[in-house]
Amino acid sequence: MKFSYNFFKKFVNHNLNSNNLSEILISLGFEVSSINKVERSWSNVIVVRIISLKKHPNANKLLICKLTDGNTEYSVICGDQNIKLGQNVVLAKDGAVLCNSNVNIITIKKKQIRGVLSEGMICSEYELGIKKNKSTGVLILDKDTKLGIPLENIIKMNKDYIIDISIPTNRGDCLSYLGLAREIATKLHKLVNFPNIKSKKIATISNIVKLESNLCNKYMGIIISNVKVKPSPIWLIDALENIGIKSINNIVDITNYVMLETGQPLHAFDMDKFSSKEIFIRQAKNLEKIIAINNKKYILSKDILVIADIDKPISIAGIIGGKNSEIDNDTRTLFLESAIFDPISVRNSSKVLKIVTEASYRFSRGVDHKLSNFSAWRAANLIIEIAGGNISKKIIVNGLSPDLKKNLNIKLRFSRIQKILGCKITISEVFEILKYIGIIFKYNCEEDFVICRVPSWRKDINYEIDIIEEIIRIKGYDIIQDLEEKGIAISSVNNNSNSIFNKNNIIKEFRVKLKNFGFNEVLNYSFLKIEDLRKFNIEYCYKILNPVSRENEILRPSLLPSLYNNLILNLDYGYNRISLFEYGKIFNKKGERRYFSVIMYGDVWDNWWQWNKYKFKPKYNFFFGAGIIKNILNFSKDFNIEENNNPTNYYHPWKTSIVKYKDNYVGQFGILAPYITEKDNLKNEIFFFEIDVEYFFDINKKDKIKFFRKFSRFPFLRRDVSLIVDKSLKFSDIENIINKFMKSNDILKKYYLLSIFSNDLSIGYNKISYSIRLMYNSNEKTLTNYDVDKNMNLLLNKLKKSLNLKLRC
Amino acid sequence: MNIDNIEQIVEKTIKEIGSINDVLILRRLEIKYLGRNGLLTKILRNLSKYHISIRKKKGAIANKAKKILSNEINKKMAILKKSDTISKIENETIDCSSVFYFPFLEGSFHPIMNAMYNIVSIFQGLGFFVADGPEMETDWYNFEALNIPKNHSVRDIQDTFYIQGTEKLLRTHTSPVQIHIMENQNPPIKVIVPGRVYRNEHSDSTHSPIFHQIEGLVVEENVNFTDLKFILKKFIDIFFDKSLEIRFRPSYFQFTEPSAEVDIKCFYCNKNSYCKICKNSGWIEILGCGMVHPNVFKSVNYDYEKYNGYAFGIGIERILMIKHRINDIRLFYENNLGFLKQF
Repeated sequence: MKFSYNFFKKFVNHNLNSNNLSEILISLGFEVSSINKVERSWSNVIVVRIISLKKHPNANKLLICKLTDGNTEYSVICGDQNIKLGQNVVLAKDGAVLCNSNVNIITIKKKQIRGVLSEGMICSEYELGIKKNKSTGVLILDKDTKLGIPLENIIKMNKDYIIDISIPTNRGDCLSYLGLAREIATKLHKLVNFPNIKSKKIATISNIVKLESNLCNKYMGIIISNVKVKPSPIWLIDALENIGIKSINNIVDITNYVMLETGQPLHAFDMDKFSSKEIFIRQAKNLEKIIAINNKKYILSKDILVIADIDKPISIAGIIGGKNSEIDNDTRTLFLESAIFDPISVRNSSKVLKIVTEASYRFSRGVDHKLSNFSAWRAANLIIEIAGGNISKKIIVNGLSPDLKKNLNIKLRFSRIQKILGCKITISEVFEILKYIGIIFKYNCEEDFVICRVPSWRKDINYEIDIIEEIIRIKGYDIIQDLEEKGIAISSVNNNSNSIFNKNNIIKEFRVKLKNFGFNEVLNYSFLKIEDLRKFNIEYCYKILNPVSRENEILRPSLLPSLYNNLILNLDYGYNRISLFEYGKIFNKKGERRYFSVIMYGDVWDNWWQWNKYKFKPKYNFFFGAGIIKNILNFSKDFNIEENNNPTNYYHPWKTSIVKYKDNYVGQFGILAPYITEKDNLKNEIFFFEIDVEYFFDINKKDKIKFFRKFSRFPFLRRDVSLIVDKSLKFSDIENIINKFMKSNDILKKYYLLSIFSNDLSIGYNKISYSIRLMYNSNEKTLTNYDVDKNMNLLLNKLKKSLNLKLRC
Repeated sequence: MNIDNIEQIVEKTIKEIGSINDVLILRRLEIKYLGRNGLLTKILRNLSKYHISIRKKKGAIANKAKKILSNEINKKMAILKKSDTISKIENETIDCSSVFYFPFLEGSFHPIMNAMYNIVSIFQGLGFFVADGPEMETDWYNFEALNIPKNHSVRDIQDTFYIQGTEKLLRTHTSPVQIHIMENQNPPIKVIVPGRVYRNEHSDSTHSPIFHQIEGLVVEENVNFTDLKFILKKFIDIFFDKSLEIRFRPSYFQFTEPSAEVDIKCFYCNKNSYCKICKNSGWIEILGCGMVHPNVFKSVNYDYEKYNGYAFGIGIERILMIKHRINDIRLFYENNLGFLKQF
């Protein structure tokens, strides 16, 4: 919220410059996001009178004005058709520098406009930087203004600083100059000055207002007759427009201005527009309609409080006035409203109607009920001063006041202050702070506590802790030391929580391995568009009820769509090796699940000239991908990779496998189905891996302490064999036999699959040849050829016995 | 060849050896004289024809000659072999500047994950344990239990994503995990909770509907604000790797009281130009913190007269943007390799 530096001076006497003032506000918990200087530049801008007017010969919409400053005459082209002979206006002469309300600086020069010389410009309030609204016409001055004098002699050049201050949501009392001035005064140990009220608060009481709802706690009205509605004086325009509130007319501006002063929202109705003598504070009828002063139509419901005449609402209480009772230039009698509406009701109505106004913002944060009368009289005074008229009646209605603070007594113990803050604050210091905050207190010496009564505007203070907070807020946190830890040094709680950030968590292993394989970790939004899923034929499970953007429509049921998009993005940037991984939550039928996924595409290795030497330029395919996955899963024997009999739609029907953990399905991997990749014209296959981490999140590598095993001190001997089998046979059939054999003997330690080969001519129709390298060594002795051959033949016999195979020589 | 002129032969051969410059020719010469059918070998073999007395005398001469030649050949051979290796090495020139990076090991961790690991390990070093919690939460955990009642205006600021057809919402902060932890165990607690949080707002260079936080919670009988200041000062010093001037500024959070925001002295400011990082204020906001509000203890049935607690929350993206001078929060989620490979 924006505040004027100059105005603070009216409420508290201080000599602080704008920077020091903002330092004080920051130290009190009010963030200052900007300080902007407001200054007008009006050199060579003078008052002149229009002495003749004629049409521009070459342009219909332009006028040639002859002007005089009393001595010199000027000829100026003007586009405003509303100017009249004899009016006093403002002329920016040749060389004048203007700063308009958008802070654009313009230098005025003599120039030809459609063939006629113009010696300057007749200025509007926008061009002079007085009003924000561009469509303001030429500024017309009073007829008796002295000609030829600089404009700044008439309109005070108001140098000011506009300070943008964030008010915490619990400090509704600080949404005004008075409120913030109280804070500044507390820090400076001063008292605030209230605005003046000159005329007495006397008026006859009227009872035209009928209260029919408990959503209004207090309602006050003042009827003022014979007012004259016109534009506001410059100081009032400045007070509003400098902080971003549009100036409307003197009446509306005064209600807004007093709201800025005291925080009490006010509203003025044109009373002659009421269709009945009485008005009612009631809840709206369902589907009742009102057109508000912003020209928008609102459809109301029965939870919304309105002010109404006999047949229609004339304002949405605490939010916005109705068009049908708006102040206009013909308004003569006005009804000034100063009320306390129920904060929750205003907040809900404002949410339902999707409208936030200065008034609703303040009401929903709580307005000081003790200031509502004062504010009404302050506004009435200003109206009479500026718009004339006289006070004819006043109305005071008291509601049920459920929210008005009861005389809450809070017990503040000195021991508690010390316990929370860890530092000692003396009794006299505490007393002084309480005094400046406005708390009335009584000290109980024997038991060392004070009983506090909180002022009406501090709706945020309800508990002892709130007062302790006030004490340290005013004192400043600097008085608390930070040199040692007095509490616990180490948590005594079991450290067995299943976070990936724990020392031995398995996801950390996955990540480290993949990073070392040259993979890049990504993080995507947990959201997707429904459209993102279509390509993959995946269904979503959770939809967002209220997304601000289409990007946030649903919660991702898989990591695939965003990883796929990451891949395409980087491919478009020209990367030819893209291998990414992501850990994160997905949201599927099982609920919120921690998942880990990998995607690979393109070259397995980056370009390197040495690869050419060995003719080695592999692309990611099923075997590279699956090999890497096998590698990251090999920390536990409980993982098994098996045939995928029922692959998800987006996988290639054959190039896919599943991962099981302790016989539970936990994940799958494979090449993405060609129908997906073809759409994006991808030349190579995409490998994708996904695993539901929830199943094995708690495996801790720490649990499996590795014990040292004796290892062989003798050299390896190797044998290569080629087995020719039917193509229908799976390699795993051979592998199972070898693995079983390895368990039963102690010299075959390891084997490699060296090559896979099939050629109908050389090895026979529908046959396939696997070359396997067997590695032998013994823990006891150097093996002889005899030992090895004997062992190998045993294995080969086993293979022959169970499979139909031939040895290839 | 005759045994009698053996000495001349030896002399002549030594001369010949001296002129040889090639290992193969020398080898051929060795074979010619000393090989299985070599001249000297033959002479020695033929000695058996002679009478013992002559055999002794001539044998000695021949053996001596053989020894001399063999010595000379070996000597020369050593010299030639050595120069041969040298010339072989001489020919093995390569352009070492063409090495280029081995094209395999350039992976990266996401900066956010990295930062979370770093921050967690700093706090682990300070005695905290790590916990995790759900991202889909109920109103109770995200708001009510944290002293944010329905209809409270603070709920307007934390624009919340609600999930259709359920009572759930996406957590707007990591603080609900505080409640989960306190519901499940008694003090003392000293825990750190890293995680993803959601705010229903449009993204721009400083806002993102998703970001990451690290939440800290300590509950015990004797902790107070001095402990909070101590821990956060330690953390900031370690994270930024320098001792920075810090400032605790009063602030407002529902679930802590008193509450503070912590600023560090801006270390990017340059007196000559406008500082975009601290907007010329000289301070950079780093995190929010405070003493746990008694109402929060009430929600988990802790005795708020007996126990004290403090809590803090750190925005990971924000702190990373400051540390690495990243000017747009969306870069974290675009996943462009040009960005990722920098970390």
